[in-house]
Amino acid sequence: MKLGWCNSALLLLGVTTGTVLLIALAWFSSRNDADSWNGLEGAPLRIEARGSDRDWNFSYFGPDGTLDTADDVKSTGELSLPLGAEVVIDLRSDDFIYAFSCPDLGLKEIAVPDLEFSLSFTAERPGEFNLLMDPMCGFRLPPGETMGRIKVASASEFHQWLRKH
Amino acid sequence: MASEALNPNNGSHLIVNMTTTHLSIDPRRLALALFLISGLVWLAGCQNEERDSRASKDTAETPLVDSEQQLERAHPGVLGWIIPFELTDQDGSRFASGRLTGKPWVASFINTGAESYTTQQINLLKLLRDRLAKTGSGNGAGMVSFAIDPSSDTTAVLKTFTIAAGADVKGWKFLTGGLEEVRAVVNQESFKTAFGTGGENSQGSLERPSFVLVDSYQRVRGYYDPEHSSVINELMTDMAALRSEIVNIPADVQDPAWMKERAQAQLKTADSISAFHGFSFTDQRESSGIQFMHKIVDDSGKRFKGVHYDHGSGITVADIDGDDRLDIYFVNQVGGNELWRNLGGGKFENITERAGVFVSDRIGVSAAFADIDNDGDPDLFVTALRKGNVLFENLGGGNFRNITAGSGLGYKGHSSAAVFFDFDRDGLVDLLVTNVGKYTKDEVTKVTMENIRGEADIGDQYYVGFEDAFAGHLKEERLEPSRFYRNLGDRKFQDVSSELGLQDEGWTGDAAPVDINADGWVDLYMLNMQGNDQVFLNREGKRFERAASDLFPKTSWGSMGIKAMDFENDGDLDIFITDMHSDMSEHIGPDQEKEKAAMQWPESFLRTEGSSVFGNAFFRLTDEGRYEEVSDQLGAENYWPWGLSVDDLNADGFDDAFLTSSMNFPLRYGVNSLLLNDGGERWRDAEFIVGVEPRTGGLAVPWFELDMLGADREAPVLEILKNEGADLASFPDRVVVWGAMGSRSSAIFDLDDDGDLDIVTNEMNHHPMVLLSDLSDTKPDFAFLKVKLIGTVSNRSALGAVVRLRAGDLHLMKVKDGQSGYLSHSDFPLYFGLGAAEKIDQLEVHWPSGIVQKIKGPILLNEMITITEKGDRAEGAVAQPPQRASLEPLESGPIHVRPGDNIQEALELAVRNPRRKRIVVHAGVYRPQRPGQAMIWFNERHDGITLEAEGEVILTAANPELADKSAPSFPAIVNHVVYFGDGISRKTVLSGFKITGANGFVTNSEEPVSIQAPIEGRNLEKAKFFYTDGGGIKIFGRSYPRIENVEVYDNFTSPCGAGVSVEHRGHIDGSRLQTVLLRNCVFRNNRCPISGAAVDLLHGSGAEIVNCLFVDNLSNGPMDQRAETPGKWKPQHGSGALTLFPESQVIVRRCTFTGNRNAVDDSNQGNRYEDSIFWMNNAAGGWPTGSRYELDMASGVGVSGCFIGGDMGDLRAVIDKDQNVVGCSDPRFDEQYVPQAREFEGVGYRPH
Repeated sequence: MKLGWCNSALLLLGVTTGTVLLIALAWFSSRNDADSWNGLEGAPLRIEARGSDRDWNFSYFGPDGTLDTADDVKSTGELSLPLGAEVVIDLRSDDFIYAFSCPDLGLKEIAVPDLEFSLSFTAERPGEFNLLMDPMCGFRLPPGETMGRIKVASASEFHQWLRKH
Repeated sequence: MASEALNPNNGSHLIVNMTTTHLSIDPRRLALALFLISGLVWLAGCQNEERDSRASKDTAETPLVDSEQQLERAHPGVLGWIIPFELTDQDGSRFASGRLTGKPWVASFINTGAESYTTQQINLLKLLRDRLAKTGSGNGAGMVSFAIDPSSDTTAVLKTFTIAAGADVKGWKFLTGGLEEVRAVVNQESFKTAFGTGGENSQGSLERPSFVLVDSYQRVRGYYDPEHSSVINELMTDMAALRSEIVNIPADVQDPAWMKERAQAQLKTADSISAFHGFSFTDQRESSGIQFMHKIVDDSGKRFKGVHYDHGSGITVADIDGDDRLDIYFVNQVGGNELWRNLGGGKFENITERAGVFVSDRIGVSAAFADIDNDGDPDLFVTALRKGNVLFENLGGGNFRNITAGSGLGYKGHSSAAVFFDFDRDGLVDLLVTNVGKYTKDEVTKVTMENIRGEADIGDQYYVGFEDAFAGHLKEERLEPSRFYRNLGDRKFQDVSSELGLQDEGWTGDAAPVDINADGWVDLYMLNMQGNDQVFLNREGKRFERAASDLFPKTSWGSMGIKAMDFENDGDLDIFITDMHSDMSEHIGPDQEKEKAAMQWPESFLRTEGSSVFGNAFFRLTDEGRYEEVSDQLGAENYWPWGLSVDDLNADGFDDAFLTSSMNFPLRYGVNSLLLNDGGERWRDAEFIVGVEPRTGGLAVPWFELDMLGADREAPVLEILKNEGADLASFPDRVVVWGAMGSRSSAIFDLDDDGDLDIVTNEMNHHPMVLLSDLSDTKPDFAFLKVKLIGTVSNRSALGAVVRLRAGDLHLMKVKDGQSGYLSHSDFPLYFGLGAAEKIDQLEVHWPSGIVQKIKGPILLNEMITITEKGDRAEGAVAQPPQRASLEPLESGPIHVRPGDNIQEALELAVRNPRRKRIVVHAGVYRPQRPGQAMIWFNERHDGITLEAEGEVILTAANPELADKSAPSFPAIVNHVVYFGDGISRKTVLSGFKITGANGFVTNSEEPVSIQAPIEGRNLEKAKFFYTDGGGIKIFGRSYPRIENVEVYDNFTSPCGAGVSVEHRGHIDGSRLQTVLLRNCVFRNNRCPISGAAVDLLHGSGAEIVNCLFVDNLSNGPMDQRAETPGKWKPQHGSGALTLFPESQVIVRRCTFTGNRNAVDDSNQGNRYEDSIFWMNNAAGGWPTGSRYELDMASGVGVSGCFIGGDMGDLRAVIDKDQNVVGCSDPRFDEQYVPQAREFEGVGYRPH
């Protein structure tokens, strides 16, 4: 069957439109995911930092806003943040006293078993920054070692990081 | 064929030929063959001999070793322990095994009679030494060879042998001794294994014992057969394995490079210090005899975590037995506290068990001495963790009894310091017990750390610390307020914290009683180790009131230690506070230690809203009455300080400070700080200048051991070791982790009575330091005064008393507050350094009672003055007795006796009243009111009573109105003026009286009352001498009173003991202080026909006689009917002013005998006479004898430091002239019998 000129144009239009729609849908979807994680749309990015056995375990509250659900993202030792985001970190401890200490970003707060402390800040500086171990836990790391890192990057990089975790 | 026969290789061919065919042999060839064969055989034999000889030579001189490479061997296990021993070395000196601790050593067993084998052993060991030296480990190992035939191998033999063998070298001991003591050492289990038989090694039989390798902690790690060709390599390999066990944390902890730099930097500043610093301290712990070892729980070691166990334990000092020497009580976390009695001369003995103060079933924290019942001796309170604090009553003579039950002081919690002070000025000391806060869980575990101490305390239980212990101040449920107890009397206390408003909200490790607002009432400065300090003002003894924050606007955040002191001699108290916890927020290097901490912790942790000083604080009281913080201005900062002891270490009139400062595993070493007070203007760091640092014993010690094949192979602490750089993969089977040493508590006092101040510490996980000062030898114008205070209206310990002294330009002020250091509250005299002063112009005491007492001179320099609280009155005036009052009991306070009252009635009153055991007899003359055996008598029910004189009180046996004027004994009407009977302890005191008038009156009538009930079955029946002897004082049975400041004069008895007669009949025990104490007494002009005119110790009696004067006493006087005995009375022996009959014991110390008719006769062995003067005891008259003598001694062994001069100094020629001055020069006594001749300084009696 031979397509008439009109039929070919329609076909082309449909395919093109569908493709664009698909791309747009995908783009909007990803954008919405990032927005819901990156603290850029009103609600801060909320993370629990839990000291346990001398490690920091980070749990990102998922879009449902609740911890310990399927949409949480977890990481040990590495805290990734989107640039410009409002961040709230709930500090907890399973055992020792910890200090969440990142001098480069001016961050210092304690985590103590059975007590609640939190840090609020805006991730204004891009880059990678060390999380230091404070002597208050009675423990020292070898020179050059840290308790973890904070990585502040673009929203898309943050999104990619989320996907990996 | 012949050639074949000659060829040794064809010998067999020849034999075959000979055996298979009939012989057809040329005889000449046969002979030649036989000759050659013989020759070959001979040659072969020679080679074997030579090889044997060489082998034997090799064995004797060079072992058959394969190579010098280390062998493949299993890591040496722990096979046993070496029991501590002490034998005699080849130089004749005693050698204790404790000196081997800290490095491995090799034990061997020799017998010089078995020469070849012993020589073989010695040569092997010499080779071992050479090999160790080549590897640089020579100095790190010792060698001990035990002589198993000590009867033959005496020290002289060993010395000769070792020299001949080339083995007389440093670090190699050849030990011998008495047969039994050597056997005991050689036959211990670990050495029996070396002998292989397991049976007792018979004398002279070597049985080829092995070498034994012992590690640094006295554990056997291997046995090595000297016959084995590789024995040296085996030892080398295993010793290297032992060295590989050591893991240093941090890696440079034993010898950090910064120590040298720091020392050099400080030494360069020495010239800029004006305060005298040309003296030094040396650690004499070993020679002191103190063996105490502080031990820790696992939470500070193998199970390390940040928890308050690392605060360590305290130390407290007092004279517990009334001998004027200061004794020490060490507190321990694990293994038990210990009481060490000062023997003088810097020596101590452990009397913990016999004193009854052993506390071992709980974690000890601190202790304090104070007289809680005003009976004249310091009682002891110990704080502990969660198993109950403990109160011990001092029964006298250093014997204690646990009286916690019923005392109200058995609190169970996280207690820390104990602070005694008189809150309400009622004459009884009250008690603050600081509680830190709940830093432990309810979980209990066992201590497992003691494998390397040689004393397995494994199994002691302790409460596990919280992992977040140091966040406890953030959790309200962990708050544990301190407790304040009021002393109710009768050794009972009541918790009145809430009632008086003491609401402690901090984590309080220690506190200071100090009159902050100078209103005469002692306030409390309570430290908070994790937040703001708290100050409670004392409102007239009725309540506490929290001080306004503007009194101290900023306080140290992590306060740990405190001392109130007058820094600049302006008459006001300043307050020095040490801050440890701020320094924990950041690990810094030594070059930043004088700076305040750059606090790293957030406000959510600090919770002080900017009102903190992050480091030490020094609050100086300004003229306006405010406290300003000037720590940095004065140079008071340091690093990791626990607390401080303050006193005048260089005797220049300005108080200095010693700050115990450190942490331990897993952190680096931290120095103790010694701050010299530079003229009241600045603190100057001087710990390196005066030798406190670096420590002579090293900077690190074994901290704990890990069994890498067993329970510890996954221990969490391995993570710490890894982070500190340890290579876990290279760990052998067993690892000993070494950590930094560190002091916790300290006290400053004159330990050896040489006039300068010494320092004793309590360390974390190690022996204490006993730092003796040489100031008295090095300072040209050295002068001091010690002031001992005895409260009478005020509490007996005089806590709260203020002493002001003026000497030239020096205006000094000190408060007796009991605060001797971190976790250290003590009871000892105040010390005033007098600089260049030549005399004391004024001395006054402001008692807590409100009495102000001015002491008139002359006050001797370089002495101790005892000031007993008395009302303020003019010099020389006899105190007018107040209105006569009855002897009816008052609610509290002493019982007063005045002329006309009956002293015995007062004694009976004290028996009936448990709260009133002190009787004060006021000035006057007291006579017996009826004839009898004694005017005053004490027996068992009177034990614990103090009878003391105020003013001049004369007790006399004479009552002319009642005496028979025709009797030879006129005017006396009693046998004894004072009688002490059976059942009296050192808790019973007679003080301050003049006793006279005995004149040979004797009655055995028990009417109207018996002074001594019959005692059955103790060999204590009343015999002749019970009635006749002891005109002044008679002491009978199990009776050990304390008699001090008493003058016994002008008494006569027959036959013996006119002054004092002691009749214990064998019921003595010097080691348990079951002897009479006579101290600061004068015996003058007492007379008797036979012996012991002044003091007579009958058979089996005991006395301690300290600082007494014996003058003009006449034994050996005219005979009378009572004294007459068949034949002559010992024409040449016996009859001294002091007589000891057989089986008697005495210690005579710093006494003077002069002008008597013979000084001392002592027929016993081993009695001690120290630092005393015997001069011209040659009073005329008496029985005709040989020369009048100074000393008639059966044994001179115990005589030391004495000066002897007279007609016959040493009757039996037994006195050691190296230890004493026999034939001394004239002491040139003054009116008070104080020798003016310089060489008699420190010797003989001094008026008290």
